[in-house]
Amino acid sequence: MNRNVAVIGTGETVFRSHHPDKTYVDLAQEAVVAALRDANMEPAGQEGVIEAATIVSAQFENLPKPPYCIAYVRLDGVSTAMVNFVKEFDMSDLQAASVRVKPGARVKVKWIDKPEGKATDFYYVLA
Amino acid sequence: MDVYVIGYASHPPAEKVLTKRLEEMVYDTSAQALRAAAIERTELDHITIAACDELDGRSISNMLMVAPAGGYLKDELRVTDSAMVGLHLAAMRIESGRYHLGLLASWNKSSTAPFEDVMRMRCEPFFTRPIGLNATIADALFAQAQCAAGIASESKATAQSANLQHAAASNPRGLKRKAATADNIASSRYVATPLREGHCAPVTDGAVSVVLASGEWLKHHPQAKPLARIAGIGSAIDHYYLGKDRLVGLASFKEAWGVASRQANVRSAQTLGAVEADCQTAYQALAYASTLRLDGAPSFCPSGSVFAQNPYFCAGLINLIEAIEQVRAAGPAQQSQTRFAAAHGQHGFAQQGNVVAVVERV
Repeated sequence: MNRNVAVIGTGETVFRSHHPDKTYVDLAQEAVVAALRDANMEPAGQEGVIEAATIVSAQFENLPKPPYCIAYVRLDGVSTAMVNFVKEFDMSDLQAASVRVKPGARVKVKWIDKPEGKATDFYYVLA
Repeated sequence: MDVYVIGYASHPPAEKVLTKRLEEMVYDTSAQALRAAAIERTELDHITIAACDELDGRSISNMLMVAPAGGYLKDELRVTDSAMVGLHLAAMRIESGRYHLGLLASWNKSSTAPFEDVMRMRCEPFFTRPIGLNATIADALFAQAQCAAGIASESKATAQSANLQHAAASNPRGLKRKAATADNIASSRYVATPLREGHCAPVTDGAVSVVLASGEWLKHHPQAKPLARIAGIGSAIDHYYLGKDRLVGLASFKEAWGVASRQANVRSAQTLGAVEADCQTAYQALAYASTLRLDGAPSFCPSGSVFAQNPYFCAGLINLIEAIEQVRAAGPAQQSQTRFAAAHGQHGFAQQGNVVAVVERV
């Protein structure tokens, strides 16, 4: 290799033949979080900035009842954006609401009371 | 490139083809393309198919489609991204020197399958599918990012859509729908902000078949009359997630355009007689026109592009036909500089993949 490459953190799950109490997402998360902490890094901030957003106002089959807002948000400390719903703001006036979620707007992560290991365990609210 | 189009056919445009099975649509179109090229199916040394099982509404659809497309007992390859990816493969097969006369067949009968459900299921299952993207929502994210970057605005998109619909209304190969006025477009309902219904090209049914030949084959068949040369073709794909850089940068479009134009030795889009771009929404049209510095140029989508007809999966090949007609001086809104014209197709969420072909008059 032409460039130096260093391992600055490692993480692993507890060594056991079976983990019946955990999904593979749980296992991957445990190892990743451990590696980041070992490297003195945090997984991601709890606030971020909207990179792209839309308020869906048409009803599509197998999608939520409109209106609802989804946004790609780049959380503080990470380099990629993650999509999720933006909730808890007034969407009755679509044009006014779309201005509030324009790129650059700051949002906070809000967790649901009983996480289920799904992407919908959290959503964004305007900061 | 030593690759020529010697015949083509497109199925008569229709919002929904209700009187034929998909197999019949494709058979009719391939047979017509072979007749247009004045060759027999037995003369083909290969066939390329571009089709999508999901949009056909069934798995292993190819098993039923190869024969009506013209591929029975032929050397056949298939791609599933888009018709223009199929064109790229078909052109490369001939450019390899191994093949000399081929048929490319592609189709879209999404009236039999729930189009937006198909697109939604293309989300990966853990992070995006539970939130629920589809083609329209991804297009809306693209539209908003283009507005935030100062490239587009709702009023510009409304004017662009009105222009495209006006051009589409007089396209003889289109549905000849009455063009909506700018006021009607501006007051149409939002589907997902800032995208209004009037900014979008409705998906239609259709099929396209193209006969391609090598220069060597043409030398041995002087009676054959090529319609155009494929002078250059480029294909590129962007990353999947729809962050700001991806939605504003149009990286894969620029890459595909650059490759195709370099191969064709075309310096800029302004020197082309026509650029037929696959603009599923007016915001995409604004973005492509801006990138190519063709804002407001009559050479940008003179056919009305997908607003004339929009068989989503094979829309790029409809654009190819329109580009060929331009270099043959037979376009619906014929442009003056017509040695070269370009056709574009896109696929994936918010144009993740792009293919550009430059055709040259022969």
